[in-house]
Amino acid sequence: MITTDRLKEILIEGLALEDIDPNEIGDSDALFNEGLGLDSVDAIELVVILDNEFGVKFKNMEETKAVFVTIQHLTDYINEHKK
Amino acid sequence: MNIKNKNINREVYIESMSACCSVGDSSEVIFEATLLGNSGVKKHQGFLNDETVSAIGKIRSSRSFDSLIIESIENILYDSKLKDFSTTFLSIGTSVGGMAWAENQFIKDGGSYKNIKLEKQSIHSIAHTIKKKFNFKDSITFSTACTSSSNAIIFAKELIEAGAYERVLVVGADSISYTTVNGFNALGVLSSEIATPFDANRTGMNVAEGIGTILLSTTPSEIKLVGVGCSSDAYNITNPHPHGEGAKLAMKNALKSANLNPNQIDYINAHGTGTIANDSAEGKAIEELFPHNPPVGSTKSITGHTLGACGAIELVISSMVLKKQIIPKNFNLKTKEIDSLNLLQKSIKNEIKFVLSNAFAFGGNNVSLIVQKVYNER
Repeated sequence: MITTDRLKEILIEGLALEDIDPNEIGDSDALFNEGLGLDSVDAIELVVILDNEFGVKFKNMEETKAVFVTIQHLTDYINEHKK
Repeated sequence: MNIKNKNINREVYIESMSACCSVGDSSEVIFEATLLGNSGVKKHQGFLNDETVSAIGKIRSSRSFDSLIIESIENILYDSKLKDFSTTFLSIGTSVGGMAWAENQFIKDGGSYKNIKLEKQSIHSIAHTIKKKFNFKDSITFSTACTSSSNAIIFAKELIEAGAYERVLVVGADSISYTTVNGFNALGVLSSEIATPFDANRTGMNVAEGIGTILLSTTPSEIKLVGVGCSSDAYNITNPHPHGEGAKLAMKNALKSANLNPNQIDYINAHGTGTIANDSAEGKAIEELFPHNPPVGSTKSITGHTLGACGAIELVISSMVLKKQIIPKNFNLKTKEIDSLNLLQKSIKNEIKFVLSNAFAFGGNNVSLIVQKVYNER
C-alpha cells in the first residue's frame, strides 16, 4: 500500500516540481491545471514513473485521463493495480 | 542552381515533423506508444502465400495510404505556417513506391496488367500523388531499401548546406505489399510474433507500413540535424557484414561530419530489426565504437519495421526523445544477447543532447544520422 504522502514525494522528485512542499498538497488537489499544474509532458513522465515504480501500465494516454485526476484518486488506482 | 556564390556549411534544423504508422498518426502518439509499450504489430492471415500467420504493423485507418501521405504534408504546411511549397524541394524515400496499389489492381483485374499505370506503380508514384495536391519546386525519389528515407534526409541536408534550397521536405513512405511480406518470408527473417530486437531468443522482424515527414530548413529550431554518415559493406546482397564493419563505418562518418567524439552520444536509436544477422552485427559495432556504453534502443517492436520509411520515422522518434528528454525502453526485450550493451528495459528521464539513429539495408548500405537538442534558439 502506498500513501498519498508517498505519492506526493514521488511526484515532487520524479517530475522535479520546484518550490513545492508535500505538506502544501492536499489529497483532493487536482494534478493538472489549477491543482499541481502538471502539463502533457508531465503526464508522459508520470506514465514512465508509474510503470517503473509500481508496474502500473496504461494502454494509451486517453486511458490516463480518468486516472490522473486527484492525488487521492491516483493513490487508490496505484494500490489497486500495482504489481 | 548556382551553388558557388552562396554561403556553404549552413546549419540544418528540423522545422516541422509528422509521422504515421501502426501505432498512431502523430509524433506525440507514436512516442507515447514507445513509453506505454503499446505495439502496433498484430497477427494477420492472408499476407503469406502459404496462408500462415504473420505479425505485421498495419496502419489502422479506413483511409487510403495516399490520403494519409497528403494529410501528413498538410500537417507540416499548417505547423510551419508556410503559404505553400513553391520554393521547397521534395526529397522522397520509399522502397516499394506504388507496388501495393499495382498488386491490388492486378488481382482485381483477374491477373492482368491492362490497368496498371506507370505513374501509379513505379517508385515515383509517391511524387505523383503529392503533385496532385501540392506544388513543389522540384523532387527526387530515393529507393535504397530500408535506408531510402535516410538517404533522402542526407540529400536534403546537402542541398540546404550547399545553399541550393532554404527548405527541403523529406517524405519517407512505404505501404505493405504482398511482395514485400512474402519476400522477407522467403529470406526466413519474418517473425510470427512481435519482434524482440537484441533478444538472445529473437525470431525475426515484422514488416510494417508508415509515413515519416520532416521539413528541414535553415530556420533555427529546437532540433538540429548535425551529422550524417553512410557506408557500404560490399559484403552480401541481403546480409550485413557479420562484425558490423559497415555499420561501424557509417556511425564513424556521422560522428566525423558532426565533429563529435563517440562519448558525446547520449542515446543510440538502433536499426534493431529483430533479425539474427542485423542485431548481432549492429550490437557488435555499437559495443566497439561506444565504450562509454550509452543507452541503446530499438522501437521496432512498437512500430514494426517500416522499411523505406523507417529512417524518417525514427528520426522523428529520436527528435521526440530530445524534446521530451525521455529514453524509451526496449519493449519486449527479455534476455539480452550482448550483455554489455546498455539496452534499457525501463524508460528513463535523462539529460540528452545528442541522439544517433541508424538505418541499415540490403546490399550492405548503411546510414547513421545525428540530431542535437538546441536550447534558446527560437
